[in-house]
Amino acid sequence: MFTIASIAVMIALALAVTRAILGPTVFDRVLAANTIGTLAILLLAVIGFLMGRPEWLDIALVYGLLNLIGTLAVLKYFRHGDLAHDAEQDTKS
Amino acid sequence: MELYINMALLTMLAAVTVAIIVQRDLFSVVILSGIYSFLMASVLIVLDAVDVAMTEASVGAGISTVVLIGTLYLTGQKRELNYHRSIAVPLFVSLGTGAMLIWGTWGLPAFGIQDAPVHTHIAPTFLLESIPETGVPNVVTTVLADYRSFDTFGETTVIFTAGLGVMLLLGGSRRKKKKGETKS
Amino acid sequence: MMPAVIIAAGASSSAVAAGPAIPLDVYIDWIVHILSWAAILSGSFFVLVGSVGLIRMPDVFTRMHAASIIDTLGAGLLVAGMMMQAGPSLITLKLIFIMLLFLVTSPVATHALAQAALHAGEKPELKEDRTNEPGSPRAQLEEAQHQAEGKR
Repeated sequence: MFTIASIAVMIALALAVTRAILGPTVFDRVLAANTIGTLAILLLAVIGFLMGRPEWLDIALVYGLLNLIGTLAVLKYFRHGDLAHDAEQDTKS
Repeated sequence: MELYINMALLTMLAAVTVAIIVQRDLFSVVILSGIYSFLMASVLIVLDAVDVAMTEASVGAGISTVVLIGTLYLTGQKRELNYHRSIAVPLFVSLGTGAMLIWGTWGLPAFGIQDAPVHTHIAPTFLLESIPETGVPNVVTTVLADYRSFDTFGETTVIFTAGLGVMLLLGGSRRKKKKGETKS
Repeated sequence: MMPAVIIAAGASSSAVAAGPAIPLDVYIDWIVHILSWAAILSGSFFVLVGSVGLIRMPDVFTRMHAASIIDTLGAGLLVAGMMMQAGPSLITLKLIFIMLLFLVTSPVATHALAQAALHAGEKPELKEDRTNEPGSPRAQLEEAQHQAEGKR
């Protein structure tokens, strides 16, 4: 059961990497990176169950947080051109 | 199963590396290197090196992505410049280094062999002499706190500094507010 | 592995009891096991569907749509199946946290991505862009944009 799941996640990972390499725009790559992070978490959980070591889920949690931070940093740069941009100033001015 | 997962992950790593080399857009390079770190961390986890994987994920995918994006913002450079230089010397250097590294692996003892130098030279010494020398029953504690005490001291200093920085960052604003209130 | 054990347990207990006295726990184990199989298999299916969509969809916004299938249905069903396998333990709690993390972060990241893409001038591909001529939807998209700007 977990073998099937891990094979599925691996295939999905390969397809997401393909999209990251092909991706015509930067946003495709960011999306693919985000998906790869999600799939890495799933792969970790599934492999942990497959090998009987489910305590790897702690690292999966760390991955999830890092994934969000990386994605948001890139996107904040693209949206505002600045990492330390304050969105409230936009609405005030 | 573990073997196949490793093979597939390493193939993807190679593909991402080639894409990083070919790619001219620097943003894409940053994002692809983040993807590389995630894949590398997965490889390390499959290899059962969980602590290294944690470091790889947090440094590679977390901090270095943010730092590199900040660098791109500060320099304003969005595309790699086209240098028309000969690739002969870099190719020679990298091929030579790779050949030397592969040549070096031939001198290594076989994987997991019993009489490797690690198991014959230093480990028995620690196991036999740590209790008479230090009196600590746990060998790992002995190595960390006695034989490598200066190293551990340095690490503790680093962690202490990091904690101090976090406390200053989190607690600084509160003190400022108090000052403002007393002034007003 | 697990089904074999459970079958063996069921068979032995029925052989020992020689009648309908199979304990209720065995049935519950069976049901939970079958449910977790179903959840993990369908989760794998949705993960595959999402990743195929990531490749096949024509532009960023539709790809986001495909990727969100992985974040919600794929991850959700896989995590639910794993929870059923783990039973009530600390692992289940961690899985719940992972699921909550997905549910909170995935929409935020997708929203930020869509906003940034729109801000950077990415336009969603519309139906009109496709029905003009078959083939090369990208070039048609550019053409349609130029025409729309000209009309304005």
